[in-house]
Amino acid sequence: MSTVSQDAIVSRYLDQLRAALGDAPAARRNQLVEEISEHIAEARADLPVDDDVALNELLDRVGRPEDIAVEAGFAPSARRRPWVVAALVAVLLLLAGTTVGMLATHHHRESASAMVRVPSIVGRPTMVAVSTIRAAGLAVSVTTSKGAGSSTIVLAQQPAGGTQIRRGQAVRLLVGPASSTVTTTTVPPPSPATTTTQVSAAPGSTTTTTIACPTSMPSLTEQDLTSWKNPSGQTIAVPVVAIKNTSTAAITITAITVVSDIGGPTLGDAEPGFSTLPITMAPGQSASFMASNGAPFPTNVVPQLWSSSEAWTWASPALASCPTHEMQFHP
Amino acid sequence: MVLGDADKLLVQMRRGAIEYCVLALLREKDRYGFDLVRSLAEADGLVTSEGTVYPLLNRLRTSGLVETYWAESDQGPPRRYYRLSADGKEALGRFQEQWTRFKRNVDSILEGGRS
Repeated sequence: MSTVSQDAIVSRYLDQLRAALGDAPAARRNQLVEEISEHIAEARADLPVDDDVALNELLDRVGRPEDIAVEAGFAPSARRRPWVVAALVAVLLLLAGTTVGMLATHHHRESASAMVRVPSIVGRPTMVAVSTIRAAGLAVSVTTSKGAGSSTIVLAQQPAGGTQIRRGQAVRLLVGPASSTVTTTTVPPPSPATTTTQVSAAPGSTTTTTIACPTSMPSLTEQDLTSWKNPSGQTIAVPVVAIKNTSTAAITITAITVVSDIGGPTLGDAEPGFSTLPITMAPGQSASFMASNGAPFPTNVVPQLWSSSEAWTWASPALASCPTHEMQFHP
Repeated sequence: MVLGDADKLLVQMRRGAIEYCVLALLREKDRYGFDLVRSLAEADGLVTSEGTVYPLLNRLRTSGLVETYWAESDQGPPRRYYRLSADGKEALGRFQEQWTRFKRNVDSILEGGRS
């Protein structure tokens, strides 16, 4: 029970911070509140449960919202209080009727940020889901189902997508193995004559062609993450992403980023780049892509394909020795 | 009074130096926000409140000296990691060089004046 009131204490602190940052542009304010909320969550993990004194000390260490606002270059404004009142009134109105939202003009801008629509993220990769929820101004708590590897997707969420909840409240996610629902099909390794043999092993590792595709990857350490080496020390050339448009409509692929399945850094950040993008694929058309600079990838990579409308995740280990994978679009 | 308030000077110096301390902490390894802030806070007197480090991190990111990315964690939701960019590395190198020279010169004059 006390955990609930502790949540309320934290949520009140974050409200005060948001109010102190009232003059900051919304994106900047949300970013700061989100980061400090993450900081508090990390710090709380080390605290004894239900210890209110410890929680208050923790918030003292984080500092006064006004000081943080000043450091951010936004002195708290004197007319803050009326805004808060206006926001509260607007929230009450929102709760009272569904059409009142129409009245929330720019004059009552704060009311729009008090309630947040929960994004629908079932089926999305956990990482994408978490950043989507946070970007919406909500907190997130993740429960991982037993036996899940490091590459997970969201199996269930609570509250459901579309629900309106207060900014800063938590969305609970149950995550599990991606393999259970992501549509991927494995095709045989290409013969040397075909174009997809652009997948290649690093110099001196020709024997990798005999290594079977691992079903699970060893976990990487932080060091591995930093240096972009996989645990075996083996490097592989950029994987080919083979795509077939199985839908009846043309699809434009705008970007392909590759994310290691332990999370980031996205190789999009590392800028291997896929040179031929964007490309529009006619119904039934196949295409394969490889990154333009041949940068070494860790073994367990998950390419994400961004079409003009949505992102798909291709969740398979992409070792040089593995068969290439074909992704089928079902819009 | 000819001299400014020494306390005020130290506050200003601390403010200026702390950004480079962040860059230096990221030189050895990428860190997530909490880890970074706690490591800074361990240095006595460098950080008055932990929350004020985040606006600073935002500035470093906007100016392209650090980059962020998400990585999964063993416990709880994924974490936002910070890493040093090439520009950040360069800025840190320049600062370190100048700081070392400045510190040596001031020290030698302060100590020389005492003897």
